[in-house]
Amino acid sequence: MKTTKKTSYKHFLIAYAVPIMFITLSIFTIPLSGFSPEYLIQEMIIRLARNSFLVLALLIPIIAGMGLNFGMVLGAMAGQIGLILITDWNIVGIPGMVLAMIISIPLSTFLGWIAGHILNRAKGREMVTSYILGFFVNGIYQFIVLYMMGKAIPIGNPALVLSRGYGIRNAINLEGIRQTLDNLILLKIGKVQIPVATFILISAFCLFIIWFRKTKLGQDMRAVGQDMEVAEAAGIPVNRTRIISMIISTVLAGFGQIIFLQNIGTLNTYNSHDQTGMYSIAALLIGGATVSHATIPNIFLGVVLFHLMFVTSPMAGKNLIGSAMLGEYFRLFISYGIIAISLVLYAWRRQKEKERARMDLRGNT
Amino acid sequence: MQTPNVKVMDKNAVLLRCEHISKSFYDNRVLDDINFELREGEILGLVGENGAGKSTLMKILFGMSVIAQTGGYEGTVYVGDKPVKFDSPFEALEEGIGMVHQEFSLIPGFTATENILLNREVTHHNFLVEAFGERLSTLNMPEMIERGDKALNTLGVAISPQMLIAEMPIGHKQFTEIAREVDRQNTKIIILDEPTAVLTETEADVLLSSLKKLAEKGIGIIFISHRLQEILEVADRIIVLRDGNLVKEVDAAHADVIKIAEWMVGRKMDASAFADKDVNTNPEVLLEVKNLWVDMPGETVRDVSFEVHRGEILGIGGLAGQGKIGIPNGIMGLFPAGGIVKFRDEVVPLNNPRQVLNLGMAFVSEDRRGVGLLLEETLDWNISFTAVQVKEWYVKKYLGGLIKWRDDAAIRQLTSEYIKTFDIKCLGGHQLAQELSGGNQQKVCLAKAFALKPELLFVSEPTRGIDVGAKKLVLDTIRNSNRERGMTIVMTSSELEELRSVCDRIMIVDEGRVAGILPATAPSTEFGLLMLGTGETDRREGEIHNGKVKTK
Amino acid sequence: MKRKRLIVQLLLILALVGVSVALFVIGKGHQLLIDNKRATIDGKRVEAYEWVNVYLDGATKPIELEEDDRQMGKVSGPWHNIRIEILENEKVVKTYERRFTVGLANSFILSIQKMVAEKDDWLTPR
Repeated sequence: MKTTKKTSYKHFLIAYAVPIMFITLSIFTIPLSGFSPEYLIQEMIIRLARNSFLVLALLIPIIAGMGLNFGMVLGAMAGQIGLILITDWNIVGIPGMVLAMIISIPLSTFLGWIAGHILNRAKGREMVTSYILGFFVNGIYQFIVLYMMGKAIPIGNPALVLSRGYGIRNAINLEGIRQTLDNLILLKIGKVQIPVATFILISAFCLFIIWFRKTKLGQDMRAVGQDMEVAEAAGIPVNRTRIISMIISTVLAGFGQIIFLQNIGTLNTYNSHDQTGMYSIAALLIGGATVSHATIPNIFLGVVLFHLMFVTSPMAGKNLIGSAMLGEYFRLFISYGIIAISLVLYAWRRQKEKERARMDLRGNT
Repeated sequence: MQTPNVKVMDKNAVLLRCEHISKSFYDNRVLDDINFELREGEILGLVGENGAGKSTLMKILFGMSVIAQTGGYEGTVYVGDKPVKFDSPFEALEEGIGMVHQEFSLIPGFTATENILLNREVTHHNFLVEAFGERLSTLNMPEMIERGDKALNTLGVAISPQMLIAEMPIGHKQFTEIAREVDRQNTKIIILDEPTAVLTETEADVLLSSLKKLAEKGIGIIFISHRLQEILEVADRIIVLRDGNLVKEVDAAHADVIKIAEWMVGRKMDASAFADKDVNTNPEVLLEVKNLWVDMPGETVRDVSFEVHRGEILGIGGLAGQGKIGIPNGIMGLFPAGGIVKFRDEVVPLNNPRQVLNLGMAFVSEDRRGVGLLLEETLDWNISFTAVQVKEWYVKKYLGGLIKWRDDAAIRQLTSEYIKTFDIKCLGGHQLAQELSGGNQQKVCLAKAFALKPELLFVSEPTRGIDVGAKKLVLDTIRNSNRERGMTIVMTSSELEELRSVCDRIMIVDEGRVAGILPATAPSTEFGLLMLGTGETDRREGEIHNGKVKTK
Repeated sequence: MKRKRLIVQLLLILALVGVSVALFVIGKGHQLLIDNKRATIDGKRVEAYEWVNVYLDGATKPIELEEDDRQMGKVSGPWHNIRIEILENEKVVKTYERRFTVGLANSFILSIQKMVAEKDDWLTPR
């Protein structure tokens, strides 16, 4: 089919509908919020460093055709268990972070393996299945943290344990590792501080993904992601490949959560992982990714746009209507709304593409 | 390296031998004592009508799991001198048999190279392999591209090995698929199932010459096509299947299109089964279809225009996958469609089944168990269902229509009426639909459509999957309802003889377009040629009119 | 081939465990409770200093102790360096520096008086 300039322009608009929408929204909210450019830039850099790793963890299941995967919440929980343990043992600084990551690996691998098996039985419904699976594993996590820790799993530090003698407190101060990675190499440009070490780690992850796509396993995942039946017919072990992609994603999500929490500095034992999946997926979708296709630029664009909205909209709402409560409401409204809108737009886009393809079938009408 | 070594041409070396191959699906014998050989460097043309057994034979050769699941087959297949029995396509590939399927098994987002070398990628070793296995080795893209290019060059086509499949014209996809088999180092035999069906004429020509090139390298090729011209052009030998029997094996040099068509169709039932061939001559147009397109997967209708006269039976024939089934499904609104359809000069809204039913059309679907019947409900329900839902017949209304109550007594009476007239073998209206035999289920489907008292009835593949006796009864029912009740009928069927025995006129559909409309009395060879011809229809029609093709 | 891979995998797991242990040791955080208090050394009473600045592991900002004071310092890992400045009338009269190692216990009591006197029990786990 010939693509004239007009149709390709229209095609571009359809393909990038979500990011365009959010850039337009930001154009209004940024001046309304009244934040200074320095503040916004600093805030975006902090949030990029904090969130990019988590969002990157979503990439591999998308390559393997498993869609937007809420299974990363499982990895987040594994990472938090690592953090609770190192806090109890009082391992501080970079060694503490690395040790938390190492502890999270076997847990994440196991959880990812389970999730992979379950999602293999729910092909095509990965998103909702992993979402519900997240709730289920949350129950197990709470059981371990609330009842086992302090009883079956010895916890020595009384600051962590509830006054009844077992179970972990609601908030854990991570002062031992607070921003140790961010402050390892800190570059100052004017008033803006850049956590270089964190960005080096994120770049390493990006390079890993670029390299990974060029491996045999990465190639197999791409094949499985695009057409499971063809891949199966070519002798690629489809189910195994999907499980591996889940395991990798879960392990990386665990690392991501540790990086996220070292920046925040406090672990909300029972809530920190709650929004992880939601915010990461929302950010990815805003970056122009879809259920079936996502690139590294999508991630960075998405994190910036999502958090720009996140930071500016409450203030904008307050300045506009005069209610601070509106901010909190607006945040939740935005992140859920984004996912819904993006999924609808994605379905609509697919419909449009199908219609375009069907135009070829017409005869002389 | 990648292509099999060019050996000294030895026309006598047998690559593949089939001895006494027979296969039944339950009680239905689809292959009966097939014997043939394929030699090195030979192209064997395999022709036959739909249902002649071609695909079943190929499934046996390629070890498709459906064969084993339905009880295996009789006879022996030899590759070289070795008897083989494949449990999976991978075993067939091991023995050097490659197959190019009708549907593309290509990954759209991959390049030609990536598809050709799918799961056979050239890789670099790296240290991670030691810990995590072969799958972490990195791809050696330059070498892969080289190999992909080489495989494509063997076919003699100029396709960039780095072109994405999604951006390729359909012909290039076909070549990519063949190149995949070529690249396999041990491929000795390639089976191509209708490879040219989706190609334009020039693309098909290139494909044929690349097949000849492959054969020159010593590969044996089995080429299935319904385009007889191509078979004649490319094949060394031709075997013809009809109703599961190998009816003819002949050197291509000794065959021509008309002979092959005759062998394929046979001379069965040439005279009409019905004596009263009083052809409908009412010129009143009941249904007018203009430029209809239907997006039905596997049965795409591209551009179809025709008229149905009041009181006639119009047959729609053609080979499977050419779009004949898409026409009624499109008009009835079951699949996305476009174009103009006029019923009694009134424009029919497409994509709206209910409106179409309200206008007085009804449809007996080819998908009897899926669309046609409520399998887990009683016959009462099945027969009355559409009438109750659409027409609100057999419904008692209370409170001015606010409460609607099913009139079970009336439904039961209706059902027993149809059970009697159609002679449905059952225990009564309370029996479940799934307990009936195929033929009786089909009659229930007809009864359900008739209960709507339609002016125009579409019947799709009414005799598919039912035994011979039941076939006759179903066809009689259709015929009688037309002749006695004056119902206009459009009947779709893959079986030409069935259409010829029932219909007034028959339209042949080929590649989503009308190939021609002939009276049912025209000789079967003419229909056969319409079905088989592509791009040559005009010439052939000319021949028919010149009287050259007339048989007897 | 399979065997080799198994060995490599085992080695990797062992290496990971080894790294974990190493991380545990070098990342272990300790509290030092630094005392500037009167002490009895070999039967002699040693008075508290008027003012002491304590630099742990080359820190630039000192921990400041008045007379009879106890302050907490935080260090991580097994190997450490301590430097003190003893002040009288806001002038440094004596500096003292030494290296030391700590075990895996969480907190220690460090007596400046005993340290200056080079006694063995200057650093005791609490």
